[in-house]
Amino acid sequence: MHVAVILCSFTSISDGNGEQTVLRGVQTSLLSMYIPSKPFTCLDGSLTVPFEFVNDDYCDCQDGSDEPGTSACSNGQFFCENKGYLGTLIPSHFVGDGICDCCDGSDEYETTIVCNNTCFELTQKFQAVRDARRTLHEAGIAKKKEIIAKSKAITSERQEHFNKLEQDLNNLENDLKEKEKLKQEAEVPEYAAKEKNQKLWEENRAMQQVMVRDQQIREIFVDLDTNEDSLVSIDELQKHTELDINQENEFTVEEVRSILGSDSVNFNEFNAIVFEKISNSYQSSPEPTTPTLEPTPLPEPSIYSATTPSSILEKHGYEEEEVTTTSSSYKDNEEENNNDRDDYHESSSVSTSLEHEKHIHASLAPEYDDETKVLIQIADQARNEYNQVKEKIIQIKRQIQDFKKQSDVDLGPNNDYAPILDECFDYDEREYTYRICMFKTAKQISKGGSSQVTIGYWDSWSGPKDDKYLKMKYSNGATCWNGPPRSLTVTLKCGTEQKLSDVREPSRCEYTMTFETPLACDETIANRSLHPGHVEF
Amino acid sequence: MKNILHLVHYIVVLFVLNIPSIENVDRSNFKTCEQSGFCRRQRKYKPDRSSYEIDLNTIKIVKSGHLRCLLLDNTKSHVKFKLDIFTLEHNSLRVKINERNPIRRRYEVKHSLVGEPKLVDMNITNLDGNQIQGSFGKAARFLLHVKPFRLDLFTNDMFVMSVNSKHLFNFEHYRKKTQSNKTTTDNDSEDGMWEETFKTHKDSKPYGPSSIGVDVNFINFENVYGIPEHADAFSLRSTHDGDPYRLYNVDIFEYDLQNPMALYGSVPYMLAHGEHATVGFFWMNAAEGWIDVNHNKNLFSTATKPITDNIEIPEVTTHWMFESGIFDGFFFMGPTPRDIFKQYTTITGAAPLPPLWAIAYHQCRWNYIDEDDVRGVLNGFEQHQIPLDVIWLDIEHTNGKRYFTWDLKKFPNPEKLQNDIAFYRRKLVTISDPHIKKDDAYHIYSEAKARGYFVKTKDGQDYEGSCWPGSSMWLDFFNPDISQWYSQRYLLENYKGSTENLFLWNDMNEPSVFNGPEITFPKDLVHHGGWEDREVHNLYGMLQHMSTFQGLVNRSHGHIRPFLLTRSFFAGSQRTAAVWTGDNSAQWSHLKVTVPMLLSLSVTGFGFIGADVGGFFSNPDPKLLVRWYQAAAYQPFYREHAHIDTTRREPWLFGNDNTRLIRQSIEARYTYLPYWYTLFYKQERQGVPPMLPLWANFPKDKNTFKTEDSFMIGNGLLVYPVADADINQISVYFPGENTIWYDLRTFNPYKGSETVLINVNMESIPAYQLGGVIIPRRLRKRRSSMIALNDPITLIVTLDRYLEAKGELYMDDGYTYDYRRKRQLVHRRFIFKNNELRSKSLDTSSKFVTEAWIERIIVLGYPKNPNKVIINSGDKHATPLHSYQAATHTLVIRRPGPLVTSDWTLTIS
Repeated sequence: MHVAVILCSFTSISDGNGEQTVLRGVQTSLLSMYIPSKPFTCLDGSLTVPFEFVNDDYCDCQDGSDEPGTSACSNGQFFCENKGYLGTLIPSHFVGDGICDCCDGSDEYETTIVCNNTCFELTQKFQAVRDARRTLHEAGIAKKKEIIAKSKAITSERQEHFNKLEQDLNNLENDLKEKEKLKQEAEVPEYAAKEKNQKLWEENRAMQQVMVRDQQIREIFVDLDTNEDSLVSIDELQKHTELDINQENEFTVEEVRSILGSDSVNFNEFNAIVFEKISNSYQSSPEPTTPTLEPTPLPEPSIYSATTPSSILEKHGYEEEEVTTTSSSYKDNEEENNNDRDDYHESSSVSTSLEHEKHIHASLAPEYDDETKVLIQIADQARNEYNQVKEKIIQIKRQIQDFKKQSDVDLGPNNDYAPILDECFDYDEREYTYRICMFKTAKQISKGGSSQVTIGYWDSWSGPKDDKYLKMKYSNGATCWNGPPRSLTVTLKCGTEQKLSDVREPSRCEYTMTFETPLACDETIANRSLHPGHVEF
Repeated sequence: MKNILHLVHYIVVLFVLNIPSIENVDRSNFKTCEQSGFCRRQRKYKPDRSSYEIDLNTIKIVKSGHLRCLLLDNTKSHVKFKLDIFTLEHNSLRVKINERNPIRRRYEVKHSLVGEPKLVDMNITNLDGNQIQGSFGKAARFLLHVKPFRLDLFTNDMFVMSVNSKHLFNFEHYRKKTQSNKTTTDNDSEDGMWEETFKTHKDSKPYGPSSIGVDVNFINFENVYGIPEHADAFSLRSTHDGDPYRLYNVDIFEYDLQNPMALYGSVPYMLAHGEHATVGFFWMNAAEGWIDVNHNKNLFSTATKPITDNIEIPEVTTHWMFESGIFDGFFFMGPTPRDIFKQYTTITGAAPLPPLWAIAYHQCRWNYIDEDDVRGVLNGFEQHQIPLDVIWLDIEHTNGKRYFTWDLKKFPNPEKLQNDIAFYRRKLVTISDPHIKKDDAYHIYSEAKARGYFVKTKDGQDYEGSCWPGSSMWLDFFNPDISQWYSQRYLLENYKGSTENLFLWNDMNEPSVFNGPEITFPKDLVHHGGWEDREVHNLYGMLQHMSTFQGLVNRSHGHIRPFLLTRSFFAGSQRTAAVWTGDNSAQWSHLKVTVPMLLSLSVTGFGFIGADVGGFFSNPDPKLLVRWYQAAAYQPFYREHAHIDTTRREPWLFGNDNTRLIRQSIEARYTYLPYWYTLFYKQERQGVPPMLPLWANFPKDKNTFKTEDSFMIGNGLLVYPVADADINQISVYFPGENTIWYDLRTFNPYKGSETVLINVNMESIPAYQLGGVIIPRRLRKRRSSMIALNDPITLIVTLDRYLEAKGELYMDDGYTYDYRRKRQLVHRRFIFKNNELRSKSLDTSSKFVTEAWIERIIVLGYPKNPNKVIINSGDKHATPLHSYQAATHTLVIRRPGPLVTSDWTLTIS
């Protein structure tokens, strides 16, 4: 039942019922609303009642304003005058409940219990607490200034470093352009020389091919010419039944003749007419003296050769992508960038056999001529220099990125918490050490060090609206068995030292810490002047 | 409190088993009827005709109200039973059947009885050679059929109950085990008679089969209730397509709803209610029990009064099976619900008046970590101005789960903590479980060990099992010396760190044994007196909390009323402990089931009952939490509790709106404390529980017989808790013909026998006051109930169609036994009639001094604005102001002013 519902005006006023109204419980600022000679209007304006209804121990007003001095309304407020101390408002249901809530005991005026007036002691206590607080904040502020000064130096060093990095980056980027130009300049003659060499190899190779083919035809001709009359006749060819297109029946004379084109052919005719027809099916006579028909492998540019133009191009494209790859794969790419591919190959893989190595080398193109070698050397040098600069740029860019990321962290008002950025603090408890690295992570490390669990990663400032920087939130820690991910709330407190003073787990896997630090000290508290002996309420 | 979630960890560590599903109870941990040898045998037993018959020659009247005869089994000539019929005061009958010369004494439960039942005369007539009739009490009558044995019961000439009319009476006598496991005449070779194995646990069954089955049938009834504890419907369901309802005290992990599985407590008491009568049957037996329920239609005729031919009448047939003990049945003949409450509590005792603070709001959690945490929570209540009376400490407050000790690192100064809590007259409750950590350095263990106080295995060794502290032993409360010794542990000088502001909680007392069969004692354990756990199992928890209660009484030399909460219980537990429904879950379905579960407890004698607000397991969403706070504000025991793995749940952690809603719920509870307290007093006096099914007040309203979405508090308040997530309308049935119900928020009246759709929002706690009732409330707010003792009272008078109403108010000091010993109480009767409201004493010999006065009288349904209101008290008179709201017919009388202790008359003209 809500008292409010029964709110309605009473129709008559009795004489005997209204209690003598002292304006008990009315706060000073509202005294003007309570004028004994006038009807009283509830402060919310909802009802006007005779003034006798004020503090008559019966709740008339919805807002409880007619009973500031009694417990009749559940939602009223009682003003403790608390002479010698602060005047305070307490819920009016504290009135007359046998518990001394006001230091002057005024809330228990109607009960038999005796409340000692504790206002003087309370004032002293209050002052002591306030002074201690002020002293603490004062000391804290001094420390804070020190820390911040130190940190400012560090910060400006860092800033300088950052500026330098940006400058370096700028320089390097210019340098890179230069180096690229040099590289390209060196690569042009190198390319030309290599092309020239390549061309020579290819001509040479073509000639070799012709010679090899000629040799093969000659060998086959000799092989077929079993009677050594310098002619290949039908009966000589007929022995090679593998040449029969229609394998099902006999290799007839007609069939043989259609291959030879006549009854017999000499070498030139054989070369011109017959060889092409039989080269695919022909099997040499059992004596394995004949070379195979397989063409001799031609020298090809090996993929392992770092000095062929194609591999350079390949790598060039790779490097272009490189800039955008993440730092985690950076190291691998660094290795990729190593120009000395053969070394890389040999040192990083176990060779399968010596023969194999030989074979590779045997199939390699002949060495470049000395002139080309010099050009390659020059170009390699230019590429190296280019890559080194590129490398440095990547590193610097990464540093700049990290730096910028850090500067995105909200480090509190005036960046006050910059000094503890990345700093770690430990708290030892019975079973665990708790370690928080500010604005990064918090961990629970079991004593003995056998295991550690992340209880949260930096998330945000999570204090109440009006005091956001009171609390830090670290969330998304390791997930609990059958529960949520662990999380941590750190409450910051002014202290003269930087330390964790309390760690708790009020709910399973939800941790709280108290972190004392001069950085949380408040200058306005520290600057409040002390007036010994004077209470300023 | 909690359960075996941690057992799971425990087992994993010990035995490296798989982690079972944590979603629901692992049903395979608990027996089905088929897996319980005796249930399987008894359920199969379906003879065409009962082989049991009375030996007419043996019938004799032992003394007035006590008839004895022999009962024979015509298939087993060597087995004889003695049958005793006692006619008892308050229209009750007791029938005992035991073996005449058993080869082993059979266990008879005594602890349930509040005293020796008082006999009343029976008037015996031998109708013919086959029937003996006895009249007793207020128009009650039994008819004993001789051959075959059958007992029919009548109240007001209505045939209401019948025993063995389905021929299921089957008494397994004790027998000797022959070498071949066979005897010549009996069919005892059946599997499970001499040994049973469940999962990895072997039950040695050294004494063989000893079970008893019987059918008890409720004629012309369609609804039966009771036999808690089950998470099931209030009106019991038919069990033909599943297992019977089971009674076996076990610690069940995340119990399922709507099934007959056993839970933490057992009361083998069933009620039947119909338009014409309410009757009850209580079989006082503490062994494992199973009860089949079936709803039938039947043709009935009896020798004396044939019921009209060819008319089928409904019947609920029930088949009761207990593993051991004797048949010790009490039949309560009603015929009204209130008679039944009186009759049952005459036998087992009424729940006593709790201290006032115990029916206020309790804040609990597994676990408030340390003193700072407790103080922080108390401060939270201060800061958010939420009333609170009790804060609780679960197992983690102890030194390694050694009860009666403190973890001194977390609670270095428990006395100071309690004194601080007592500053606002609040209390602390600590937990004390019956498992005793096996640790020679633990004083309770070493002393109990040295004195041989632990429960023994069948081989006479101290039984060792595991529970929270690891290896543990259990005190044998069946030994009165041990019970007494245990109760003394609660004395201030023995329980270090306790003060008179500390009260108790007995949990895990089924008992819970993590590595035992069905998570409890093996059945072949031996208790004091040589009784197997099989025979006494369901008593264990009750014996623990009875000892605790005695300890608390003795602690104050009988001056201060104890408060004590137990999870396990049996018939009679209500005399010494409050009960809660154990480890429920943060689900809407669990909020809903609180009503049927609590009603089942209520009608079987348990008035001081509740369910964990918010649900013990997992995290309720704020809406569910708010709804639960609202519902439980109107249930007898009001405690928030949560599992250690849940997130914090204090009322202010869910945003300002929810904090306000929860505050309002708790405040609403506090405004009704004078009414609750009066109802609890009436329970002590008359056995009527404060929370009631609708039919208890409207016995003839058939629409209410299955109601379990709403309930009543006393005879005046109807409560429809909102128990659905997204709902803006509820369907409310207003019971009773020609009744008027008043919405207590809007003052809107509703007519009885009608169903009305009512809009609800998050503020709504649908509660209605019956026209014709006067409810005393305290509308003023205080921080705790005990500091409101002298605050004034508002009377809410809701008029019926004759413009009449009545009500009562009981008050005392709220915490001592002075109301009994010195008669320091005030018990008033208010009657509104003929435009006059009178207050007179219901107990003129009482004396109690209080400053409490009547500050306001609200009359709902008053037809017109009166001219004048005058109040007379002795030679004093006054004319208090009044106001009238014509739209709602509401008359408010302002500051009438009399002390509640005085006689007065208020006249409206």
